Amino acid sequence: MSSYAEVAAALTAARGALPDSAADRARDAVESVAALLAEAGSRAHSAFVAAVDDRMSSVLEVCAEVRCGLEGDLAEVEELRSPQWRATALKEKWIAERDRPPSPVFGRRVGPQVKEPFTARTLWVDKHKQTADGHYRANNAAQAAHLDGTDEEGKSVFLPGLDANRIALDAAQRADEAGLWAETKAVVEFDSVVGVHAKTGRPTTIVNVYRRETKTIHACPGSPK
Amino acid sequence: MIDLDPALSQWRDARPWERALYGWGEASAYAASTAVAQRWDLLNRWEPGDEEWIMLSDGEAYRSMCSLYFPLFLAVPDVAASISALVADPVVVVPITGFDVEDLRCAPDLLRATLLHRGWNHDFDPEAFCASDLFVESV
Repeated sequence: MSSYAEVAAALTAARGALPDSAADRARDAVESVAALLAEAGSRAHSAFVAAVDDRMSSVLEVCAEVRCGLEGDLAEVEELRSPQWRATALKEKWIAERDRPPSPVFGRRVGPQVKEPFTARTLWVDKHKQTADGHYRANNAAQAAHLDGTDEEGKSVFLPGLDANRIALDAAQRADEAGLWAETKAVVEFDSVVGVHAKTGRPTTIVNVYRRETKTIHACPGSPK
Repeated sequence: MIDLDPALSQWRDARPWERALYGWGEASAYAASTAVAQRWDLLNRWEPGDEEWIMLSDGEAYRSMCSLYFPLFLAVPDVAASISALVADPVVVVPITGFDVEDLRCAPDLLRATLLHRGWNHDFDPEAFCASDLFVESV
């Protein structure tokens, strides 16, 4: 009865990797196989072997299926532990939800808006190729570290497709109007997710905007609320 | 002009954003800044994540800044004079005129190798910049 021995060995090996409910199902299967063995004396040997083989294959299939599912679940749990993975997943989800990310259009506001209603200034590009609104100019070099695709580790990034310069200028205007500046920095809330905060790996609606004496500014996603 | 070269040259090849300097990191920088803030009743303006300097303010203007990557303080003279006595770790203290005064200078290659390793905007002049601009360019 090598078939029974194989079933038992396979189940024993699989049992450690299976949850309790699956182990119970496997145990039931073993008991039914044992019942078949008890009846062996009163049935034709070939019929018995066929029945055992049939049950063994179905049990092994269940084991393989459950084990495969478990491995998938474990891999997913491991991935979910990583803030970087969460950030990547968020970006992928965001892209999937929209066929095509909105393209920046000067004079129009697409994507997240400053939470409190306000009248945004008109934007243009100056001779240094910096987006400007007459009060501030975007600091392209500093802003680059916070754009999607940057190779800077530990830097918070805006969602792909968003116009970070527009967000920075809107945030600076809002900070002016609401008196949000604390020395060189202001914290402004937007009405939807703008990016991913690097330290926590969480999506955020907060924008930190920084200004220099020369009125050049840049922004990055801030600590989520 | 206040030359930062003497203070920074010892860390030219350190690259602490890849591997932290021995004995210095976020925790020690925060502890050192907290000690200074408590002595001078200053506000800690640091937000962990993107900011490479811990800025200390009196509510109206910055008074001191401490690097997360290097044991380095820039501070106005009265605060600067007290830092070494307040901080347990050995730190380099550079007294500055003020945070909006563009009287700091640093050799561009040294600045790029240390405090501004990602570079800077075209309107930032390594031969004449202020401490608050140094902070903003580092974010």
